[in-house]
Amino acid sequence: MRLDEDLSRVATALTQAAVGPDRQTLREQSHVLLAISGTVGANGLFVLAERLNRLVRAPEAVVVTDLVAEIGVLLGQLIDRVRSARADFADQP
Amino acid sequence: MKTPARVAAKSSVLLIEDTPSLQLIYQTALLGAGYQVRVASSAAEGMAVFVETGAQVVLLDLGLPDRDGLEMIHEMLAERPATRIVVITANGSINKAVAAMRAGAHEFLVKPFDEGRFLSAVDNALGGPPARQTPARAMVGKPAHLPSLRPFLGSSEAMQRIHSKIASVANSMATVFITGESGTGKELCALGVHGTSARAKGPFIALNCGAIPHDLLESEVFGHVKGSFTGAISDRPGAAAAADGGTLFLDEICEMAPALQTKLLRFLQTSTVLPVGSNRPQKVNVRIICATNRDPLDAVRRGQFREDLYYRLFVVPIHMPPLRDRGNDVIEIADAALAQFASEEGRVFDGLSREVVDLFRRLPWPGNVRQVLNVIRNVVVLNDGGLVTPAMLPEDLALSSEIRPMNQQTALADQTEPALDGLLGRPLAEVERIIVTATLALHGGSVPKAARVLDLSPSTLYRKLEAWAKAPAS
Repeated sequence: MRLDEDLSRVATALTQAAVGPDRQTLREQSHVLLAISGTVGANGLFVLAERLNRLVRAPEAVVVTDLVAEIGVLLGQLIDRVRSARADFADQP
Repeated sequence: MKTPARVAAKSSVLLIEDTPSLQLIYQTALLGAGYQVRVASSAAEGMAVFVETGAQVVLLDLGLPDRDGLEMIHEMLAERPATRIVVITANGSINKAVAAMRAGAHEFLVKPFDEGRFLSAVDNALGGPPARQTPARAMVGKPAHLPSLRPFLGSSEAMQRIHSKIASVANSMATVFITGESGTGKELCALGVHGTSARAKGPFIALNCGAIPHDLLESEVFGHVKGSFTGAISDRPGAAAAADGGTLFLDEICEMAPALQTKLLRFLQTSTVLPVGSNRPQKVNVRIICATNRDPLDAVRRGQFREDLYYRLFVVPIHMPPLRDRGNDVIEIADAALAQFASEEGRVFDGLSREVVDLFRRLPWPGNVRQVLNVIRNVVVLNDGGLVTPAMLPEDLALSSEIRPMNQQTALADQTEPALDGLLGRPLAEVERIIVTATLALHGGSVPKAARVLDLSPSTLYRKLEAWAKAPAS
């Protein structure tokens, strides 16, 4: 399963793009994140990803660093859970 | 569960998704349901596999990094017009999904979606009616022939555009949303779309959401099973099931109660109906056409109409122009109606006099085509024949179509408004009629204005007036 890899890629890209901010990257990565988080049922992350996606689509200039940081925390937790679950699964006889 | 459609369509699904984990999730769902799937991670790879495999159904993520999804749709449909493309998009880009539907996509899915919704969309794409022969983007061309549009009179430029649009969208599965004032021919337009589509041999079921009591509407749309509520003495299929293989026309869609809007949205997403009192969903294959005489976006802003349902329905909008914007169409319609009604009544008329023609062109016709037909019917019934002159027209025609000065309105209202004493003791139906008549008089006979004041839709008010005309007050 490449879920943790996709999530890690999104986390890195979002963190880098938040500084500019690079709205195009933020839009693309939040799109990917809301799709993945919604599909796997990570509802809190999904709500934040949707908010970010909406913000960066709006014509007004926005500061999203706090929001991206909040997303980063939840993303980190989700990645940990995925890796932990995979390790548990691999340990099973 | 494997449906016949899935079994027959094995190996024909192409999935184009660039996010590996999502690609894997979607692929797993498709394989689990019995499909053979080809996957691609980019637009370039997707086009190559599309050409190589001859896939009938394409699941296309609109957010691909190397190419615009709409361009992909155009290219695929140019290559194979019969392809069914299901576009996948995120919630924030729903406008893009709507654009994709206009470009000829078969269906769209908004991420995230559950497996049932996903597989249902693929099922529908494989099991729907025969695919279009021409891509929907050929909307600009004029139709070669319009055999089923004969009831649609009028050769104005505005109506030519309507004819072209109907012919262009007919063979798409896209939902058509018809707007326009009361009496402009929205149902005829829906019939035109149905009649020129591949579903023409299927049923055309029309349902007026504004004319059915809210508590009965769910049963009317989705059906009910025996005993599900008082009066449900037998199983009854609803309009959605009755329209299976054809078209379901939902008129006055903005009058639909919020709870039922939710169920309609669910129906549109899953293509299954759940009759009232039943726990067994039933799959149907229906094209939806809806109409309203209100501004649907305004209804959304006011919170009266669900935004997600609006976007799901408002894919191909057709606006029926009011008669006052259709140039000489009013004369064509009046001439045709005169000939038809005269024939029905066994009378001979020599056409419209110049004065009548001039008057008809000047009038604003707030009731649109329906009002013209009523006027001509009135002339034919109350006169023996000959040339139609202004003297033969209903006395209130000019009054009913023009805005009067305020002082005249007040004076008229004073004359027609009965005192409360005069209403007490009368049957409710009679009171309603008095109130409606007085309100109409107050607004110079303008049905749309009176309807607004009475908080009714104009078509509801027209129906009441028609019913009263057939059963005059005692």
